Amino acid sequence: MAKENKISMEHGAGGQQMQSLIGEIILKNFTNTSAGSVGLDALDDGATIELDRDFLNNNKKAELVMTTDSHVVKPIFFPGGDIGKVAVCGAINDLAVMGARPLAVSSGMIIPEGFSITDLEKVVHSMNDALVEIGVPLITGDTKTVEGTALDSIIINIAAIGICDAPVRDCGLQIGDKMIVSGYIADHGMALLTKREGFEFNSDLESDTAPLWKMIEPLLAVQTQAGERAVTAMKDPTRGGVADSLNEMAQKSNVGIRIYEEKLPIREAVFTSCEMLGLDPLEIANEGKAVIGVRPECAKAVLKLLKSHPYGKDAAIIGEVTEEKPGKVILISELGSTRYVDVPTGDPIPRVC
Amino acid sequence: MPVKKLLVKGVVQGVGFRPFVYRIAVENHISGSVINLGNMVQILAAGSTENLNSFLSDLTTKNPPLSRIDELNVTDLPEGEAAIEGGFLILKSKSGVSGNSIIPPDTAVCEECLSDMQSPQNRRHLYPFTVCTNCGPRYTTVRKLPYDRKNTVMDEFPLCEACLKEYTDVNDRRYHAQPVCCPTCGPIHTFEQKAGRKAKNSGGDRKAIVLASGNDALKEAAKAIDDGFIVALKGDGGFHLVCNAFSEEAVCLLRNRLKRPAQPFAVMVRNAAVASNHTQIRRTAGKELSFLENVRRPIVVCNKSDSYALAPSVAPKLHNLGMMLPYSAAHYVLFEYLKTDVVVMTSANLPGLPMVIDNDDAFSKLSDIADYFLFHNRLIQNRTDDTVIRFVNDEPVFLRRSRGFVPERIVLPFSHSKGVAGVGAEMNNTLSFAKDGNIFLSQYIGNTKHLQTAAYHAEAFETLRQLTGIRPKIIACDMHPDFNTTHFAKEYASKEKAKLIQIQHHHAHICSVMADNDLPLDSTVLGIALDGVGYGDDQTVWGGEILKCTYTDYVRLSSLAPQPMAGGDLATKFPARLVFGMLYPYISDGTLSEEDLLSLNLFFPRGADEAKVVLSQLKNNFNVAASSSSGRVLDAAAALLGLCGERTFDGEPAMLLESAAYHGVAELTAGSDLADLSFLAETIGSEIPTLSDLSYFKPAIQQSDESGRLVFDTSALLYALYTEVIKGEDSRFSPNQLAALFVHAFAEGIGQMVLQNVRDSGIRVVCVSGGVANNDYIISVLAKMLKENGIDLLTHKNLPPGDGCISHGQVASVTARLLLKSKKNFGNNL
Ligand SMILES: [Fe+3]
Ligand SMILES: [Mg+2]
Ligand SMILES: [Zn+2]
Ligand SMILES: [Zn+2]
Repeated sequence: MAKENKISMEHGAGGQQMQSLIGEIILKNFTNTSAGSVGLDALDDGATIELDRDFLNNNKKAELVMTTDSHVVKPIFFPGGDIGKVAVCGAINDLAVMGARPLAVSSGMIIPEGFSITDLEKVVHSMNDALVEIGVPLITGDTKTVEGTALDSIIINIAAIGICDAPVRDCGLQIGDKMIVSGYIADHGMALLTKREGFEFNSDLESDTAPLWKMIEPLLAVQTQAGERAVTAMKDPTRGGVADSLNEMAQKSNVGIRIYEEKLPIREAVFTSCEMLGLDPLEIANEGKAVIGVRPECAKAVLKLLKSHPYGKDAAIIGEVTEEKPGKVILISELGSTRYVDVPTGDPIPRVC
Repeated sequence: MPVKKLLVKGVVQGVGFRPFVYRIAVENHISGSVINLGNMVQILAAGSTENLNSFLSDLTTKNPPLSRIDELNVTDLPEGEAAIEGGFLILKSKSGVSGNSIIPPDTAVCEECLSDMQSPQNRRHLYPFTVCTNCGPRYTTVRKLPYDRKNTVMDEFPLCEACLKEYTDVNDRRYHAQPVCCPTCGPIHTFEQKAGRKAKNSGGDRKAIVLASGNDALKEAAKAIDDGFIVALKGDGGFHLVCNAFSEEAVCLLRNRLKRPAQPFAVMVRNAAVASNHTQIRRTAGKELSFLENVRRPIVVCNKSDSYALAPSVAPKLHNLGMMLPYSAAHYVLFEYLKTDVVVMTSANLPGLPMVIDNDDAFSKLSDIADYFLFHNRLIQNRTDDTVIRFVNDEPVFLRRSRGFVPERIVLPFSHSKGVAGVGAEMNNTLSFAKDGNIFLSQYIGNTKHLQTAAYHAEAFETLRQLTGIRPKIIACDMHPDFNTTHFAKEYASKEKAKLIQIQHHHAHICSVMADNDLPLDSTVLGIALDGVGYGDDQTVWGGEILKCTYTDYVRLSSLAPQPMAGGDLATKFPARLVFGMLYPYISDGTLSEEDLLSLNLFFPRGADEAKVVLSQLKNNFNVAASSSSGRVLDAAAALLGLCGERTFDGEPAMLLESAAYHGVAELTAGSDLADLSFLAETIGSEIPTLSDLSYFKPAIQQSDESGRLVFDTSALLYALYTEVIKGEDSRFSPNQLAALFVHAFAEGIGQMVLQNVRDSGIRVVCVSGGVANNDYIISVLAKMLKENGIDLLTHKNLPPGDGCISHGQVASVTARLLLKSKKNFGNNL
């Protein structure tokens, strides 16, 4: 079968097709991809830059973490946020789930001819609000405009730089770890598509877009009795949702993950709208959530800390890390049947006969 | 004296074949030996030419009831080659030689054993594990070959003196019958209850209370069933849930606890007379009764009769009922104690999961469902569900091929020495091994989407590999990327360095029906594949296809129109989504308004809000899959007719539609006055139709613009039904009659498409496969249309038309590919 040799929307949807595009076209063709312990090959939430020890004149082990993310969001204003807030939070959260304190961000905007200046100002305001909330400066930027036909909406790129002692990796899960999700899942994706597709759900779905650093910072200090960091791995489940994040963590850590259907925090309205559309909440995007692997003896302490922060008040332990089926995520249904949580593929492929 | 070496292949193990050889050898004054070589029998025979001839003739004509000789290979040995002197010996089994039979299937307890059990003087009087060489469990008990007691679950029960005497007496009916046992040495039943079952919330003690054991256990179980309780009964191949089929209360209780609101339950009837009381079972040779009474004891689906008097909830809203006769000795003992003549006997499993086979597992999984447990202490090695047979177009068809048939070989019309395996698809799955022209098909596995069932699939794969000795170098699977069986095959291929071949679902269906009809290797056919879902080579979902097919290649000539499934599989569960999807073109072109569809008040779990969401989904093409499935068209009609709002078990809407059509045909033809139907003539514009020709809706077949395929416009057909449905009381047809007219038109549409393809291609060999081929009405209409054009519609003979045949079709296709590899141009002629 000949594959269509063009980019399709699925290539950007965060699923299997995007992974193979990145692997086969992008990763393969860059030759120098590492500046520290985490490089491009890791395809983690960000990468690290090793600091020059002599220059720093101290022995403290610390690394810089860098991440970059471009945002196109339709519609640009939606319940619970807008493209500016998503752009800033996306970058900050990528740093946060690496365990890095954000130091500064840059902004690159590509704006189509005809775009409303009032709207632009609104977007910039919400970018600033998010940055002020966590006390991070925006220190450099770039703005380009293009002809109206080339683009139908604004694109915002944010690069962010942070610092950490030792990055939290996607590949750090250990057998026995508890899996925590920091709150209700699928809010962002469902709010957005409700607005975009004009579905009448009779409910007020709101995006969860939020900068998570302040919620995550205290978790990093929790240690086991042996003095190890309690948090073993972390991801922000954006495109591809929790399903994608869990699969990536299981694969990179070479462990199995079991999650329990009845423990997944899902808002009634989100659950209902997913059921009406035939969508799986596990596959829907979030912009203010973290999926966290924690040593079992510290799970309660970490959960408690999370719950004490407004962004983590609905956090829940959803499952655990197991030896069986390395690289796979297994969902145990309320009735007791089990199935794999697949990596989202984009379009639905019916399988029930 | 001449010496001959005989190799006997077939069903020759565990069926009393060697003692039989011994007996006829002695009778014919033959000296020599017989030995079991893993899965064939070798005989060395010395005697006069006359005696040898008579021995050979006895061998092939007087063989034991359960045995079957598929191949007899006779060679002459030089005199004195084998030291054969004085008498005839049965030698100890050896393993490791390859043949073509493995182990016989389980069969019902035989007449002789039944009479042992009925005689109060007999030491096996009412003993529920009575068996002999000619009957009883086999496949369900075997761990590995050779088939000796030590390799079965009976190894835990050392023979007592009396049994040992029978076991070692070559003239005894129980000579080397591996499951042989008696009340002194054999397994025993216990009747148990979970402590604290009623005080569930106390959270306290939930361990077992043994209420009775031995025959008292069966007696108490019978009493509990008669009293309206639900009993989990451990059988030979798995657990069943049993209750009194006359008690609506008990049946509803079982439904509620199982969370199975409507799936029809099979029943076990005391005897054939009882079956006749409630169904139209036919006694004519070769019809339903002969299957019901067959030693393989399948469930036979028969149309209900006017005197049907079982609880309405046994098979609600359906016109037929699945019945079986007692098969194990324990069933007979149970009926000895039961007052009721009919019990519900349904496999004990959670939806989609494998049947429970283990006592502890039963205790933990079934304690919220069963009030009591009738256990025994013999292990179940190979889980085997009941086989189900129904008549379609007056021919017997498997709905499920399992107990009584598995692991009997199925012969392929061609042969290759390379071992190959097929892992099947996903739902109703089986797996197959093939080598040397034989296919060994596994028992029914179930829905491998569930990991427990996928694990069972892997286990059954290992068992079959063990028993057949086939180590496949090629493994075939479906094209669907997400099936667990696809993952399994990929893993196997990389682990065992085997070749992986992915075979399109409907091509596998057609290969199966081709091989099932012994079509030769170079056949080209028109294959009609009618089912629920199969992944197409264009990455969309198919299910109403006409393929021009060889065993190795196919071209999709025609199909049903691809229809939108709003929400993907959700549309299968709630078929109103399909109605909206199929009628949406009429909204797009302004014929209908959204309000028209909304005012149909079809069932959506979240009511009108959801109905509107579905319309926007269709408008925006959001999370909408495309499918040319025929199952979905029948589902849509069932929803539009108000027969089924939510599918609670596989095939429910289509089954309800078929039942409604069954009654509809009766209603339309009962009036018997042809003139009453003259309005049909107006609409079809021809002479007055016959009563069997219910053409009212006219199917539309067109050449599709984009694909060039011939496409059946199922939207137009559903729209025609819609125009009648909205007339409500003003329609001249009842919903049942509309169901009949719709199903008829659907079948006619397929038939017209086939006939057009026959004319275009010149191919006159036509076969049909897929789950919809279980639909009696559709296949009858289709076969009749083809018959009128001089074409015999080929249907499945030894395999279920549903996805249970996929693994069979996969190995048939792979074997053909092996054979045709050298013939380079083959397959390019399509
Ligand atoms: Fe199928
Ligand atoms: Mg990370
Ligand atoms: Zn017997
Ligand atoms: Zn005994």
